[in-house]
Amino acid sequence: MAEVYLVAVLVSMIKLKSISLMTVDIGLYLFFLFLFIFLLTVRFFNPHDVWHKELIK
Amino acid sequence: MRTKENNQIFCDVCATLQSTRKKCKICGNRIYARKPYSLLKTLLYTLSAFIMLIPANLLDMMSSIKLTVEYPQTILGGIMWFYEEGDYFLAFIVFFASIFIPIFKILALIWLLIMAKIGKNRFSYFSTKLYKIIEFIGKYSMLDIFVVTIMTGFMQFGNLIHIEAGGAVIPFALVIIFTMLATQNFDTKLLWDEK
Amino acid sequence: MKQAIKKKKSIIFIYWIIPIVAMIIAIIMLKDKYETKGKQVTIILNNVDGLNIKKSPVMFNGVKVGNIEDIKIDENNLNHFKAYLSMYKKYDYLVKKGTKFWKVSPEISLNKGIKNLGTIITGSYIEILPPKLEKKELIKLPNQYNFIALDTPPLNGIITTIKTKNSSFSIGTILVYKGIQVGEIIDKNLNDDYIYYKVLIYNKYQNLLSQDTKFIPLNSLEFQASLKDIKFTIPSLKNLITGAIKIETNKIGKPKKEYSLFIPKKILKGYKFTIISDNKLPSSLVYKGFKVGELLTSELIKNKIYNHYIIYDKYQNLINNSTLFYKLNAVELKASLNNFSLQIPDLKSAVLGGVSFITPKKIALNKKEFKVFESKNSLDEYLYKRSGAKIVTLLTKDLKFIKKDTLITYKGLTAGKVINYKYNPKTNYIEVKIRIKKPFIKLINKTTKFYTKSGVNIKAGLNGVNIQTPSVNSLVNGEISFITKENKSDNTKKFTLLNQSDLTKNNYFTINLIMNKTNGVKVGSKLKYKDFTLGSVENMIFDKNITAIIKINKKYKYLFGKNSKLYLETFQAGLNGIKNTYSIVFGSNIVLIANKNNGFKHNFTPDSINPINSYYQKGLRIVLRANSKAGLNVNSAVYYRKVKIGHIEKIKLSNTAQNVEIFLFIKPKYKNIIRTNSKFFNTGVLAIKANLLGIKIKTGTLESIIKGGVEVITPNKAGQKVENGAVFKLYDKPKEEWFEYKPKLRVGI
Repeated sequence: MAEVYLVAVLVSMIKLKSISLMTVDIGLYLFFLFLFIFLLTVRFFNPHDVWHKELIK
Repeated sequence: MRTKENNQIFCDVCATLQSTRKKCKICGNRIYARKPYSLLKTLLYTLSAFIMLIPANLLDMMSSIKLTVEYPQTILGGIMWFYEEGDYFLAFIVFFASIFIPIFKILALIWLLIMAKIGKNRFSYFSTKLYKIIEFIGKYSMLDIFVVTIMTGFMQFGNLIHIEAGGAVIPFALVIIFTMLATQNFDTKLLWDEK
Repeated sequence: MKQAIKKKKSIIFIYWIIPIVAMIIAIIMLKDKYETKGKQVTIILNNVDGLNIKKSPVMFNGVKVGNIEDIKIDENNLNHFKAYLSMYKKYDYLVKKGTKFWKVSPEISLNKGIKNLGTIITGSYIEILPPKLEKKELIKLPNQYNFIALDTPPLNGIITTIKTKNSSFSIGTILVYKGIQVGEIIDKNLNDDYIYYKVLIYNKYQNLLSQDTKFIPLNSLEFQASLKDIKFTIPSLKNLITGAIKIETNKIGKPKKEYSLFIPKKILKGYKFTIISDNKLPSSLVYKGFKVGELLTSELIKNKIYNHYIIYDKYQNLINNSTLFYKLNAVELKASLNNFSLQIPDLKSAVLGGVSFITPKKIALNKKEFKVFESKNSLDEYLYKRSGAKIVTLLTKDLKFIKKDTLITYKGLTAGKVINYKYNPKTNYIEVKIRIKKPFIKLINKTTKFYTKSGVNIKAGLNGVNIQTPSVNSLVNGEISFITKENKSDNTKKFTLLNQSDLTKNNYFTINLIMNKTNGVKVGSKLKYKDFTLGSVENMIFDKNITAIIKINKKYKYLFGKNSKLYLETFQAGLNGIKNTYSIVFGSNIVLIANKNNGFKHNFTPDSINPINSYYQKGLRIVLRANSKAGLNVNSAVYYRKVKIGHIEKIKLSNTAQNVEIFLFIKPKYKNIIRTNSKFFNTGVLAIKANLLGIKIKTGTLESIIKGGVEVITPNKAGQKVENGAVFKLYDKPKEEWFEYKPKLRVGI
């Protein structure tokens, strides 16, 4: 869902650009970073592992 | 997984085979061979989503109020705005997320319901793929809701300019929720059951 | 079992509620939306500029009551547009027979200022005005669906007419009553030699119109005067120029249909006199920007024009028999306005000019005829001549700071002023006319040299600021000074204006620094020798190369021998810190390495390598023999127990080219550390190795890793002290036991 949120932020920024001046600050870049790490986490997490301790190595 | 015959059920949570029919011995998850009333629930949720789709598209998604004058915008109006501004790419993204996905999901669910009723046939493989797709793309239709949330949060400058969420937000959110529930309640195993 | 199934079925029934509830919600929402859609109205507009389809609202007193649905070109008349309006259902009653529609868009005009500012942001919109202002009455009126929009907002007041024979006002001129705008002129036309003004009096001021209402024209000056008394809020610019119409009334009787402009008869009191001139003079008599009199009539007698002026009563004492008049043209009047910062300029005379005057003496007034000078300048010249001042002309190609009234000084005393200047296209010189006061005239002769002292002659450096200007005035304005050799006056009238530096030219010599890029050298960059400023860059010439001409006092000429060198001290930011920060502001310094022998060198190229700071310092100088340069550089540090005690001054191949000779400079206070048995090793190499292998040796400082450095260790049994020129071996890596050494050595302070 975080990636959808990112797209929403970008779309809003472009919409708001017609009304006011928008500048990109560090927060957006940090959000990019968060998204990247978050996607990595999701990619490598396997919920079944919770029930199979012996399989985790 | 053909488990119906030998009375063993696969638990989705802990990925083990269980002989019981009520609760998984390992993780306590409720287990069943097929999701109960899967087709009926899916049908009803799909129907509700379809009903909600109408006000979602006809009412205003968002209105900007500049110097006390209101400028409402429907979903399609927002897309047209991008298109007129020359932002074809964004127009496409928003169109895809807000109009194409919900309609596509509803149509796909109807197809899946028919296929599940028929049982295993030559489309079963295709239908399973289709289910995977609508399950994945569903979240992208939340885009417009997020946009409205962000915009209303940003633009609150009193009488000079402020943005309000319109009447379409709730029906649109309901469309997404209903299609998600419908997808969740659909059991792909039904596509492979022989009748 | 059966019961259980039944129970479950009843639960599943609940799911049927979901679509039903959804349906109900959807219907309610849609009903809400479509019920608000009300009357559909078509209006015909002349102009749809700024209106947006589906966006522009229909407003009533600031409330949105509908929307523009569509705009089309009227097929019956292509100059017109049809706008389809959709009203909100709850405001349907506003659109009835007689409702007025008009477009509101931003308007910027001279007489009204900026109107409808809001629409700049929101865009234009359609405003409506229903015929009645009560809902009950409105509902009774018949419906109407097609309208023709008004071009202008409906007038909100009553219209009356003023007629006059000669006063002219433009449309938009305001009517004031006790300083408050109560109306405006909306139209004018000419009929039977009369000008008829259509005047709109705003609704709430209607009662001002009565039998005895007088409309009195106010010209701009009077208008302002009246404004001052009643503290009017910012009058618009146009009214300052065009004036206004004042209303006076006792509110008695019924309003008339038509009024005549009431022109009060001016009774001018004052002293009448005549100015004789070649041309007709402007009509106003101005003193320090104030109008103090005016031209009554003028007549032509024998090729001369006799201008009959009057000066108003209260200003009469400003003139007397000694008064000198001069023409004030429009530009000069403005200039004088700047100086005196007058309250409200009389714009008429600013455009047309005027006649001004000065009164030098206090004597009686009985003279009737006066002369007039063509300009203030010619008057000034006349006055200076009369006071016995001498007027000379200075020729210059560059006016620089010189302007009217720039001071002429002699040894710091004010000796005169600049009268004026003009450009002579024939000679291509600017001729600056100056006057010299009487006591100084005897100094002006052919040996006199005039020179400019520039306003800013500040020698700034890090060491302090040295201001070379005699007075604050000349610091700000600059001044012209002069020197003279003889003490008599002669008839020389024209002088060339020199620069101050031209005077002292002979005391200096120049050298050229030829570079291929500026390297931060700019005009004013200092030439330094042992931190002492010898001179500075006077000029930069850009052609193939860049040549900086450096001006140096003659007494230092002996320093510039054939083998002397120049190098540039530019801004450096490195690992070791930041060097020469001042060069950012003041430009790079040029540093001289002097060689006093072998004649004189005129052209220099900057040395690429900055010589070492220690070049002139006393210290121990020793030589290391190494197999290779191994990451060492000039300026690389020499450490003892990680303390920097010196650096590399020079690296070169030995004469036999078998190894590299590294010349070290050791600061004098650490001289004692170096002994005959001291060991030198390359710390740069070590540091990297130490890092890789994790050996228990502390690495050098970060600088030494990257720049490389030499570390010295002296054994516990320290050997003899060494003299300059001693030779040591440079080891590539240290031996373990060297780090155990801890000799006691005396270090200087």
